[in-house]
Amino acid sequence: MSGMNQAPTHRFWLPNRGVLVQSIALGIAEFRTFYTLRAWLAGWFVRVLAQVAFFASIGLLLHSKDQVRYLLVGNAVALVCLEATVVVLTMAAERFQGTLELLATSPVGPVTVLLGRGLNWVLTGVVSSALTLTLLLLVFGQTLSVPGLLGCLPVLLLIGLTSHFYGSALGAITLRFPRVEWMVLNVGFMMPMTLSGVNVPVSFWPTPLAALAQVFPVTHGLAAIRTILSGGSMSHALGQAALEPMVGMGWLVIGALLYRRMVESSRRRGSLGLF
Amino acid sequence: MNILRVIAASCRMQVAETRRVPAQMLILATSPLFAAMFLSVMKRNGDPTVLTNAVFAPALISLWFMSLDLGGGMISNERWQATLEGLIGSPSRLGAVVFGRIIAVVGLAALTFVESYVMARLVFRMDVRIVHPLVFVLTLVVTLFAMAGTATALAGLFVLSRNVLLFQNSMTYPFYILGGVLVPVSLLPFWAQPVTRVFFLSWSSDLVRASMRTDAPGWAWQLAVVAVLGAAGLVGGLVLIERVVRRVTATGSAAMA
Amino acid sequence: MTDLAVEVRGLRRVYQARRGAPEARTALDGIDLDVVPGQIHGLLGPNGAGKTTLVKILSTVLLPTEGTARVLGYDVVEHRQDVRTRIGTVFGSERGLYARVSVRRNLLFWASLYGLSGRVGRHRTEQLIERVGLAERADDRVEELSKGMVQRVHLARGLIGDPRMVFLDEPTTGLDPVAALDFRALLGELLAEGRTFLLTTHDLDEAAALCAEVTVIDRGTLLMTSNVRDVGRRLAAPDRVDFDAEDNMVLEKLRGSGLVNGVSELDKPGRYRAEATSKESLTSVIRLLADEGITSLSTSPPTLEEVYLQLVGDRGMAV
Repeated sequence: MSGMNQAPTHRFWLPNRGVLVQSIALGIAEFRTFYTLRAWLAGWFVRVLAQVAFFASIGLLLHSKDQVRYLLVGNAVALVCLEATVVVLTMAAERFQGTLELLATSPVGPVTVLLGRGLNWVLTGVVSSALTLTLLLLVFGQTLSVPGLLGCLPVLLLIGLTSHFYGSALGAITLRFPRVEWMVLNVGFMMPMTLSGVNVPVSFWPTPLAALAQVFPVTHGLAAIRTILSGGSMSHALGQAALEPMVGMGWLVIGALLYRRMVESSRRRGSLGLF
Repeated sequence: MNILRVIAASCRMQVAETRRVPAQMLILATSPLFAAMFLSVMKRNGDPTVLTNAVFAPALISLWFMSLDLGGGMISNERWQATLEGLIGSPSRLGAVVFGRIIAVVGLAALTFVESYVMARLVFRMDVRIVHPLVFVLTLVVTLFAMAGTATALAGLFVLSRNVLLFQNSMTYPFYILGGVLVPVSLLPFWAQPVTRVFFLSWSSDLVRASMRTDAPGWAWQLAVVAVLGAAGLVGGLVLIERVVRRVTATGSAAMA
Repeated sequence: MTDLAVEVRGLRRVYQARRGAPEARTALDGIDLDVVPGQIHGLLGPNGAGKTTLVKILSTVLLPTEGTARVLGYDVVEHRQDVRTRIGTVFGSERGLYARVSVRRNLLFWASLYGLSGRVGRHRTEQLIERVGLAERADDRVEELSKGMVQRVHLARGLIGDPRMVFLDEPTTGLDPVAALDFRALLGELLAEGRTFLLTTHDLDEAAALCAEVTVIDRGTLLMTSNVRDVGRRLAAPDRVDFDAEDNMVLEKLRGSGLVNGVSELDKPGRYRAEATSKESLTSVIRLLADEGITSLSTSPPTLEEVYLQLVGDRGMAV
């Protein structure tokens, strides 16, 4: 038996490319049945526009154009994190449908499959962020430069991936505690929205919270985007942006470890299937 | 009266169920985070006149979020548990059960006002003074009623729609803006104002802020408007729910085509 | 007004086409049914026969397309409120209760829906909990109970309004044999309280054991209504005689007599069954066997199961 156990444990860490492609394809297929372009525009995009406008309008209340811009940029960038962490629900659904049991016993190891699932949210998140940012900067009469906006795109992608790994780690928690997925998702993306320099600079918070903000998604990427949009030095922006994927790798490791623990303990207690 | 008994029993049922699944009260976890976001912006910019705008905004947001959540799930849940038929076949009205359950959740959601106050007072050390306690308390009571009425209307509406999640999502932030929870609707473009005035939250938000200012003119009739809007929601909701019941008995399925 | 507990005339129900079911479907096609008060009336039929549709119409959760149905004298469409206060419905599924809360909380809730005041509702709840034997588990959540126990909660729920008419829709489906037996015993007791039951079931033994009358429906039409004891006589099948025989001579003689359709061996070795061609020939068969010195013989009408099989074939038996 011990020999048999070796294989999955070993592959646990190694993404299998074929499976990864397949599970991304499956994710996109599920995504397309859920979202049509019209539904996206009428439902989701209206909501995210309103979300960013809502926060930006606090700047109007404060009679400060700078505040409008600060809040607008921060909250538009936070959208990619919000959408990417939706992977929490994907994982909960996996458990609910009973497919998790099948994944856990398949030879590739579930991490490969789960890494691929939900990546679609990263892509739509980047689109939501970029479109909202552009549109609302115009609506609120702010200056914007096309090169600056284009420069933001790769950073948004980095934030999306980091958030995806962060969301996957959170998703592992929902496996152990059913029916908490919405709670975990909401608290999950609201933490960076609060602490990561979205509404106020990280330095506003007391030292322990400011330190905590360093390991959340968004913090470093957003700092880089603010530098880029304000025409700051490129090397400075690159340095900040480089920290974002490092945070992401950290969450990936935590997520994979948590995931394995959850599956193992669920298997022991026999609670991997429906409830 | 029996209808009151049904409402009370449904209320108790909802409390018992919520105790089993506390995660349903998501807003109790998210409202302090909203408070942290709003208060941090206000505190950093240090304008004391707008501080009051932020104090109870998280509670108002949570109330509306809860209405959407409740409205979307209430009748579908009975359907999934296969209790809907039992309810329809009983001598009591489904609307009374729905309203009773909603009241329970609204009562629990009122805790977000306490959370908002605690966050402002103890965590952010702000000087929160409720100048007109009577106005504040009356606003709270009437707003909770209006929210329950509106949630009942949403419960009737959402059963008829197929993509509930999408509706729920798209009705959050746009309505936080229309409800003037943080930025008063008087600051919105003029064409948007009439729309906001049929939404109870826009009046409630103004009243909450008024109760924290020295002058609170015309609060009585504003309260009346909130109550009327809430009652309209309730009546509309009960009518819609009766329509749902009729449809189920006619087609043999609660599934909406 | 009639004295019947249930009176159904020309009842039709058509489900309109919709998403997921592209064609309109006739679930009931002109059913007539009388249920005499104070007894258990069995409603038999394979899956999809229309049993559940009929129960839904009688319990006012579904409207008929055509025809009339009265329960305890009240029309299910015109006077549905009068019907609702007088009936109880027991569904045979694990769902249909609030699984996350206790047995007691469930019953208290339904008590209020049936118009019982707080004190009366509490009293009735405790009484029923005792009655269905769940006193020890009353504070447990429904999701923690076994299937058999959940079924008792369903029964208690159905009885909460002290109904004179109770509809039981497949109440023992999926129960283990012991739980099913307990459930039937409980029904027997409830019958003694003067209630009327309409029981839909697949289980012919259950119907034979519990019901005074049975109705067989299939594909939305009524095939037969009969007293359970007389059910065999409704069948145009010949009567049978069972006997013990030690040698084949007798069997040969019978087969050659022209009096029987056939002779078959029963489960027990040496025991045989002869099917007479008619009532008249049955007498001759018995005489023939007696002349051969066979005394251990008995005649029996076909059982409910055989009647059912003849009526609807073996569809619906494997459940």
